[in-house]
Amino acid sequence: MRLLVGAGLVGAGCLKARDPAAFSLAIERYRLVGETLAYAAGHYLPWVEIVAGGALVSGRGRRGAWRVALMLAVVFLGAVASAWARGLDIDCGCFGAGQAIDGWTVARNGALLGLVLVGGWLDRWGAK
Amino acid sequence: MTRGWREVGWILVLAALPATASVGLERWRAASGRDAPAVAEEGYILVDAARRLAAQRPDLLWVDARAETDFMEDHIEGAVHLPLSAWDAGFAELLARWSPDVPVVVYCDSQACAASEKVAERLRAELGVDNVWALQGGWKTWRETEAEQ
Repeated sequence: MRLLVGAGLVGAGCLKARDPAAFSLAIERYRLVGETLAYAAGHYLPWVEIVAGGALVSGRGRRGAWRVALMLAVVFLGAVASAWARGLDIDCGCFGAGQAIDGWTVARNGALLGLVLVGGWLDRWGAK
Repeated sequence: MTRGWREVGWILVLAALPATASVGLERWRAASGRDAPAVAEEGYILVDAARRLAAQRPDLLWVDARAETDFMEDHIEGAVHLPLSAWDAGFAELLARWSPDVPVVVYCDSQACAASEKVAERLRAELGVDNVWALQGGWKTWRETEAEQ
């Protein structure tokens, strides 16, 4: 489970890091933060995903990596659910490609949060 | 501070390094003109090209896809207000002024909004013409470049 979550984070991060401008734009379209913060987050968050995912895969720094993964999952689910609740007709920006936000997107993000919770618990949150 | 939070700090610091490099690279590309949008994205028209087209074709139809409050505050002169949320009323007004050879340019707030692209797409489908574009950079770029004119 740890490897699955780690690889998923690295993959999602790489897709976003390939085109940070597009991810910044996707964040801005959520209308939760201003242009400057969206720009910063668009360039920073993909690398947080990659480093945290890498830590989970390698097994080094797992305690911190699980916490970061949990924070990311909560933030992403909150953003997607809020956009869906506001009826925003925007791209999700979730995995780099253009996907509209709908109930399925929210459910998928909820499932990802569940995966992090279960994976972290099974790994006892990286504690040895 | 517990070990777990120290590791969180390390992850955030490590991520900041490539992120900073990514910002630097993007700014360098922009400064060297490598990312200058010489050609508009498919279905879009650059602001400069739209201004030239409007000068050549005074009958060009501007379509404002922004929220009503934004439209009421200010808009391109003569623009028809046609957001997706109030399609029928705006579309009737557009039809009253439209003919197949009239170019149509749709704009929304900025490149960060998707409304102009969606409205342009719907207009192309409903009117059955290709001369409908979304304004690249939207209202924001239009206003920013107005001073340069």
